[in-house]
Amino acid sequence: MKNNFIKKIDEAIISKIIEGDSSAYDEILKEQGYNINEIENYANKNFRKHSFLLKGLINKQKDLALLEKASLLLHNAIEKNIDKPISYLRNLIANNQFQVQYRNLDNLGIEEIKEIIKDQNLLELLEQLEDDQK
Amino acid sequence: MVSNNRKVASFDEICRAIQEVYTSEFYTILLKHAVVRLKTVFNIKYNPEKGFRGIMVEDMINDTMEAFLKDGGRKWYIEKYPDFRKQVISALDSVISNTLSTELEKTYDTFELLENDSEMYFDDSDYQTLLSACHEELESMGATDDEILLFEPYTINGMKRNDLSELLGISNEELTNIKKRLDRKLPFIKEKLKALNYEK
Repeated sequence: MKNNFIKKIDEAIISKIIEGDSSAYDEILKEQGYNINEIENYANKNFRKHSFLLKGLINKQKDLALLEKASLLLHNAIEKNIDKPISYLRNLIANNQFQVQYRNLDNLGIEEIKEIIKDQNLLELLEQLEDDQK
Repeated sequence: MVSNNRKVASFDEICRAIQEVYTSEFYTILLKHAVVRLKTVFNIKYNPEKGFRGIMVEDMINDTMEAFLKDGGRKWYIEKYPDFRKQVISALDSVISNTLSTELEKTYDTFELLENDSEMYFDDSDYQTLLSACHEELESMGATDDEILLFEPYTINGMKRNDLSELLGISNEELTNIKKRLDRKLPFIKEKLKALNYEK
């Protein structure tokens, strides 16, 4: 019952601020001697800085997810012996410094495939791989 | 996706939600929420320039947001929090709590609010006793009779403005003013309630 009371009070507080009405918080902050304008300016300044970093993080994580997906598809293609993805991988290996390291495609692990394809256009590659596996 | 039998949002859903709700206005709400929480839960008056012992509120907000994007980081339980902003606030509360508890433990500080207050014992299952405890707290915070009267139907029972206006026989405008004054006291009532001991 006590937790239920706390939950209800919490819901009332959070719903209010989510609706954009922070007057209750503003009053508490004013009582504590804060200047609301200063707090809001401080928040804006920090938001600008952080939203830029967060966008970068989102892009980085998206690239990692694409890399993971493409590597898995290529790994499956090797196992299933699908021609096109295998020749794509062979070309990549032949055209860069990986020649000596990866002679035998059958022994390639996911992490090694990631290393080989990481600088490619992953979106294009994924579309191609998905088509090849249909 | 499902985690511990609870439906969680995918990475793409989280990215979309962040891009949608993470605005300057929401950031300001998070900052105010964090500063108020430091006061009501830990009795800390936060200094925006110096932080609290080097702990900066903006770092806690940034860490909270970033944790949603990292592998093995925070999850968005979409059934419990259909509105992503509520999930963010809940996550921020837990980051604040973990960070501050660890920091305060280091020096054996006792910043917990109401620590020296006399303990009240009550039966946890008793609605009336809990309500009286809240009313007493409201009174001690200088709440008016109207605020005390409004607490149960508005905060606990979640009644709508029009119904309340009819029930209490007061205008919507008057009701809004009373609610505003009452809302200001809710974070303190909540923490007081948490600190109360009860007999099972």
